[in-house]
Amino acid sequence: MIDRVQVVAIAVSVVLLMVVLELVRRRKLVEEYSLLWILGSLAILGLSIWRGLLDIAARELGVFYPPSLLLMLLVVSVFVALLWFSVVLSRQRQQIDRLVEETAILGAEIRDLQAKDPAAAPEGLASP
Amino acid sequence: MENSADTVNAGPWEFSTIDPRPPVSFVVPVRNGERWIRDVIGAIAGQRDGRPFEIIVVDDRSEDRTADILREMADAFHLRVIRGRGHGAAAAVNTGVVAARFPIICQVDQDVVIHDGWMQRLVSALDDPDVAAVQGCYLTDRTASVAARVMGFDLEHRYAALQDGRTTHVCTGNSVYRTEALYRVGLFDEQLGYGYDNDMSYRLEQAGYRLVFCRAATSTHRWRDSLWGYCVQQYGFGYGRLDLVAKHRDRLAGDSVSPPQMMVHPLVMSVALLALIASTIFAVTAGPAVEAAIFAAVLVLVLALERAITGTSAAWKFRDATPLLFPCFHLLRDLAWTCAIGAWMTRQAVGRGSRPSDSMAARHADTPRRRSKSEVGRLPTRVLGLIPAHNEAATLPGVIAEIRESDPALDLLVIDDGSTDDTPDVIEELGVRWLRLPERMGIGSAMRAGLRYAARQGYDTAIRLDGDGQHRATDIHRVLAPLRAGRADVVLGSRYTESRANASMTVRLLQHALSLCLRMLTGRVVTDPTSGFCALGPRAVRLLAEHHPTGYPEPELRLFLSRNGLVVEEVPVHARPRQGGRTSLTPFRITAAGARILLAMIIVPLRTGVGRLERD
Repeated sequence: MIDRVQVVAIAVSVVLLMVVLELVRRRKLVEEYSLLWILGSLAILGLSIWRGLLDIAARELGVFYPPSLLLMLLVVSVFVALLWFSVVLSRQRQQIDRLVEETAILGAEIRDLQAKDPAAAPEGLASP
Repeated sequence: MENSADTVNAGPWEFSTIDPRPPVSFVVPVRNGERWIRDVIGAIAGQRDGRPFEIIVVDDRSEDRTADILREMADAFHLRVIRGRGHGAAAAVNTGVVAARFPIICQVDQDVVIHDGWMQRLVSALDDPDVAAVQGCYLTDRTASVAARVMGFDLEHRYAALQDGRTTHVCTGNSVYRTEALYRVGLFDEQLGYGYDNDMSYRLEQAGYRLVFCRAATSTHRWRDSLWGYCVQQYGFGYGRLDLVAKHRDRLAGDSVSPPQMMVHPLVMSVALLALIASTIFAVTAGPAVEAAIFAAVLVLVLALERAITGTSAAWKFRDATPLLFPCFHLLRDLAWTCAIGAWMTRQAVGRGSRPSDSMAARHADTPRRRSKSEVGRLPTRVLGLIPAHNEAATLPGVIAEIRESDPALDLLVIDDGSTDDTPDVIEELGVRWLRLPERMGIGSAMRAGLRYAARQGYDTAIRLDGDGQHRATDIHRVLAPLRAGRADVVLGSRYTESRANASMTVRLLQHALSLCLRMLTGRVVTDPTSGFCALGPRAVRLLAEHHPTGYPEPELRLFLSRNGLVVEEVPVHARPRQGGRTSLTPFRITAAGARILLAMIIVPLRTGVGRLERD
């Protein structure tokens, strides 16, 4: 009883999965962050293959209109993903802060060395 | 008593000496106390005042490095280390009491760091022969974790309700006993895991002795850091209290340290839980389920309300926001006590069931050691002037010239925070040392870079001036003076200690609101919460080189410093309007900064102190 909608849904989720894997293969997406997307596309694939699952889950949870459950799951997972990205972003901000600070200090230390011994550091590194 | 074979047991209270002051024995029971034991023994050794004095440590079968630490310290501190029988805290104290040679026993626990003068104040209260025991006062370590602070403030608040002098309960760990009285009532009850100190107090009172509370003898109790540790300890307290009440039925209403309302709490909580269980049963059997649930909710609400009122008054008294968390923590405490009631009754009914480990159970040893407040680090030796600057080409030459004129010996470091004008060229022409952040990272990052560079170059003190010329170079000495006198770790130059006349209306209003909040949170007078003129001593330089707050850092910095136990002082400085360039403050930025500061005020007090400062 495979109908057209299901074929389209399966095709879309397979393409999504392929895109994610291809991005990982080309190193455009680091493995650490790809896991979330792979799991996401697998979940969508699963739901489009076994459509009854959504109806069962909706009935068990007391949701009247099954697609709204799908929507809610989507919103929640997007929210979690965004929160996680904010955490990653904050961590990277701290790392950048630290790197910039160290760059400034290293620049000054090179200048100090140069002042002592002009041959110690290559020309051009010292001044911005 | 087989462990006290090395003791000359000549009747401890018959000791006589030419020194009129009574000699004292310190008894420290310890089990797995590697984390604090050094501090505890160091503080005890610091009490020596020339009278005969001994320190007995009863190591109750520790499994961590405690034994090694004690062996290491034994010679330098003249310790008598005795091996305990592994029968728990009360037994360990008894072993120490039996080994003690002197007529007065100072009993200090493995996590209690006593302060100067503790022994003299407590022992002098024993001059009255009717007094058998004296209790010192625990102060809360304001740099500890939230759970530890809640515990500390709760106890401090209960102590505050005691009329100075009289008490009906002397807690162990922070107290002095008359040896003769202990023998007369028959030492501590080794059956009790917790509450053996209450038991001793009650028995001493029955024997006609008086118990005394001495507020001036202070100490710091290192409470457990984690929420879980807190609950486990409360479970133990609850269980111990039931054992105690079973032995002393007339003390059901508690004592002067555990007032009746504290004893009522777990009972009300048990009723609420029973109502909740009834409600679930009624839901199936079609009884009045909703009514029972509402009844339970009302009971819990009443408990929370009572704690909220107490917490608010404590927060006001201690000028610290932590007691506002009393409702949350104390409902957890009530739950832990309720569990203890269940476990205890089961044990009574079937004669089996596990007892909680006693008060000397192992503690978490993973968190870093912290140092106590009011301990100012080394005096400054080399001072570096830090001038963070962003697009200050117009004013920087004037600022540098002024500093050089008034203080030619001061080394300077300009930190160019990603300027887009010709600030870099101006700096090079001036011939001062400089750092350049390739992007604009904000004042916090600029300060961190500057402080780290300063530390690597061997400077231990830093003074921050702004590049816009609003700080006067002639004030530098005024700001450095408290550091040089060893009075403070950080000195803030306040522009408004006299008046705020020369600021605009909105800014003035915001400043007032901000300083009021900071005042409540830090318990200190804060007249200028946004001052950027500050001098940082050696401890502050080391701490802030890694952890200087970012964003609009000044108010958060003030909180952060208090939170980490640094001593902050304010001195008045002259302010003048900025000498040129543009202020970075627009209405939008002021709002954003306000939101950030508000968040910091809520979050920073909830963080555990950064600590990790090695001792100098």
